[in-house]
Amino acid sequence: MSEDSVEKRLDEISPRRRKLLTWLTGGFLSLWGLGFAWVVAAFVKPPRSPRSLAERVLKIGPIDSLPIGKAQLVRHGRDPIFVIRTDEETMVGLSGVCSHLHCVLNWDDQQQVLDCPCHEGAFDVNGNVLKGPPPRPLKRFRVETRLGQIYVHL
Amino acid sequence: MSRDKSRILDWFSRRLNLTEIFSLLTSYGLFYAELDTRKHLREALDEALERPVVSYGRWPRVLGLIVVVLIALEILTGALLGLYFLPTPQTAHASLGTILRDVNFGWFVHQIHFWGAQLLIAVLIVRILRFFIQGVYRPPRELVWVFAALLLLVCFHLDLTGRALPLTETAYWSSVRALEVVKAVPVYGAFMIFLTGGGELFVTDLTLLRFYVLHVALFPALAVTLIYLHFSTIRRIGLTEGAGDKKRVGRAALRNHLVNLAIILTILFAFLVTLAVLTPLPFQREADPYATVPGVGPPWYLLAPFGFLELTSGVLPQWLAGLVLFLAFSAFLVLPFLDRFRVDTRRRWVVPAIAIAVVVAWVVLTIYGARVA
Amino acid sequence: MMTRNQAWYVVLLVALLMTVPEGVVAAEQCGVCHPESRVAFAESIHALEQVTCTSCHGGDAATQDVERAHRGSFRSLRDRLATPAICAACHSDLKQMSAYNLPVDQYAVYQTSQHGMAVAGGDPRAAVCIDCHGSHEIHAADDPRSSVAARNLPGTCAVCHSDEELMGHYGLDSGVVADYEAGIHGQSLLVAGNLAAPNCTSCHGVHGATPPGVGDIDKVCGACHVQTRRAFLDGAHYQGMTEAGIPECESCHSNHAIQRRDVDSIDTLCADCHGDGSDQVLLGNKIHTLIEAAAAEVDKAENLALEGQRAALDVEDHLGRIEEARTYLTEALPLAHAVSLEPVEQVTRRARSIGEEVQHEIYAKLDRTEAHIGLVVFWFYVFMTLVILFMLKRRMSSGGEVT
Repeated sequence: MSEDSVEKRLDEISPRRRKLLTWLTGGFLSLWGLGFAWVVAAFVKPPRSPRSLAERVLKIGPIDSLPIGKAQLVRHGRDPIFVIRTDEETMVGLSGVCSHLHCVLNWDDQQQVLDCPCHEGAFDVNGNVLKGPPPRPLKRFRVETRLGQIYVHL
Repeated sequence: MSRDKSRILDWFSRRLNLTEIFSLLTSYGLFYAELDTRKHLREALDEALERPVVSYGRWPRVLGLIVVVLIALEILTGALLGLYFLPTPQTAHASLGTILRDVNFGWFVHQIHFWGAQLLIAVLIVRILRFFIQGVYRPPRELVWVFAALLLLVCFHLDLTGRALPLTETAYWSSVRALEVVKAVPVYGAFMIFLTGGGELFVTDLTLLRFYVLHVALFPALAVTLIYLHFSTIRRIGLTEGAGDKKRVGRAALRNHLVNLAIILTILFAFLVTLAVLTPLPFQREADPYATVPGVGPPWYLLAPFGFLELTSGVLPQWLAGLVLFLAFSAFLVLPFLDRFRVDTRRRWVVPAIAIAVVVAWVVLTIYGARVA
Repeated sequence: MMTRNQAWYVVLLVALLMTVPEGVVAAEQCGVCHPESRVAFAESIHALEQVTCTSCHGGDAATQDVERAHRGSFRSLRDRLATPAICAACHSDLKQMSAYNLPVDQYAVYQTSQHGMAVAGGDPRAAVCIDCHGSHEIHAADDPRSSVAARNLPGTCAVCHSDEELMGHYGLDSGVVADYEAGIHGQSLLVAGNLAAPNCTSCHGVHGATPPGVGDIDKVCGACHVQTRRAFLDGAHYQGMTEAGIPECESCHSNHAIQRRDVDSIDTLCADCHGDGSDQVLLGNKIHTLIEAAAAEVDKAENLALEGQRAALDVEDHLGRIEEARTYLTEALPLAHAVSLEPVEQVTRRARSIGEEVQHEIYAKLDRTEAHIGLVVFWFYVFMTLVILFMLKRRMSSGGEVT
């Protein structure tokens, strides 16, 4: 509908309806303010997980979920981490990728070693090279338990 | 309802000079005349709203208010971003990541802040061109020009310092390129490098923090002050009467103009939001100060001086090229006081010709700068 | 007759000699006439371990009298053929070597080598101990200065094995060291400096230097390329090549000038032996396609993940899975040596499905439909506002009252 016809109709309508229309218009325009306030308020509300802190400490899960002699692969970008529980108290965090060609390692329960599926490299629980082509030992990460939860420090 | 409103207004009016407080707002481009602060606010406003103003129907006149609104928007979005941004080399990039990823509307606020700044600079450039072509530097409007030109330069600095803050790859190197231009200019370049904590190197540990302080405190304060001064001169002198304005004097009252302003601001805001949603600035990897990213030039508005430096390197010694830039920017600032342009009514073509020459040179150098970058 | 003074000097000299270790003095006495040998020797591992000139050369080191020094047990060692036995006098003695944890079987092993057999046959041109290890300037094998240190060894072998005339005499190829240096092993060792990369002795043996026989190549290469060998032994190539007497790994990879074989080479390699259009070529193409297709999916997924990163998405987990997929792709190459579809298919299928999954998930995350719908709603709102404003403007300019 063209503006002219709107104009004419506005002139024709009764003062009562006209007042209603003014109210509607005012209400419509004040939605701008509402929307604006909503965006600002939503922005100011802090997000649930502040990533900046989470990026430095990785929560793995309850300590009971990791039996002695078992290992858990924790996904962390291109460099996953193995958390290995060697005994009741001790837990070791090792880089999960081979220092040779960056293949993701496998944990061998029986031998207690990390095997590389690509070229038969192997690492012990301290990250030392046991055999195969890897040129360097694995990078180590600090693991700690707090309130029964395992955390890895990146 | 309206009775209640006026009662509240009266209550305050007896205790506060509302008109005086409101007149502070007029310093930022809303009214181009002084309010009578002795009168009641409503009375003063009614008077001001009905005051006929010079050809308000002409759209270029709203550029000033657009500048004010954009700066206000920048301050608001900047303050919001400041709630999450951590200006240290270790956290800057990650905290922008948090804003973009985790904070509600974080990406939107960031994009509005970025595109608002680009739009602000573009509007300021168009505005200064209008001033030049319409002669808004002739007496008694020398200061209008000087303040507007200074405002443009301050906004360059605001954008430059802001761009580098998140330490993303291209932003960082873009800033380094820009600092190369800055450094080439004598006196001023040395001062800026000193101010940002850089010595021989452009970027040190302190640079990010200094950029941050400059970006959130010093330059915004400077910009707001300049706008105040700028509109003070306009209120003192009155608006310019350009060619063809005279016959339309008094046709429109201020209140009509305010509606026009509302229309243009709505369109502007819609444009800005569309830019922010459809062409978002990509979130790049964190910059590695030891690995130059090839093909990154300075920001678009500095491509021309950058192109000039690249063009003359090898031909002119660097200090001379820098001196030329310095003289060019100085001439730009003190244009009203260069005798040649004072009054030149007989040869009306001279000024547009120079304007066109300057614009063409700028565009050509910009294209050249973009190609060599 | 000596004067009294001279007699005192002699006493003083004797006293001095008694305070200095024997070996040093002995070297010193020989070094008076043989300064170059003495200087070279002083740097060597033998000097450090108190081996003296006389240990190898015999004679009397205590005198400066030329004739007396070169008398009795003295050996010139100009007879090259005799040197191995002289070295073995100590190096095959378990008593002396056990303290250094050195093996004592080198001499025995050497005698079984091509070099040792030639020497036994009286060939003076064949390599003896000093040709590789040097004579006076011998260093421990892991000393970077040693002529047999990993990175120096190819050059040491090249002294003889790149000598066209000498090799021609034995009907051997004089280009082997140059080939090795151009190959991936040589590049890795000599250019990249990877000391774990194989040098000549890794395949040919150290003291028992012998070229591996046709049936043994897979064992030699398999010492490092374990997975590849395992797959190869499982495949049809192993039995067929053994029966036909075709050298195994060498046939496709060459012996010394080994180049990195990328996946693309499968296409041409199969046809080289099996002929164009054969079933085997078809199989090769299939394996090639499997690996290529999986790699392409993983590449696509990675590019998409990086694009997501630019759009500030959280793609950490996806990048981790892409790494996992890349592991499967790396595994696929050794498995391709089984020349059968199934093992390759197993790993490439996993890599591929990870790539596809990641792509789907990131596509879903990159989807901006919501933002675009929001934009449309916003524009509708803007349009309505503009209509209201224009109406207001119109009424004002037509002199209507203002609410």
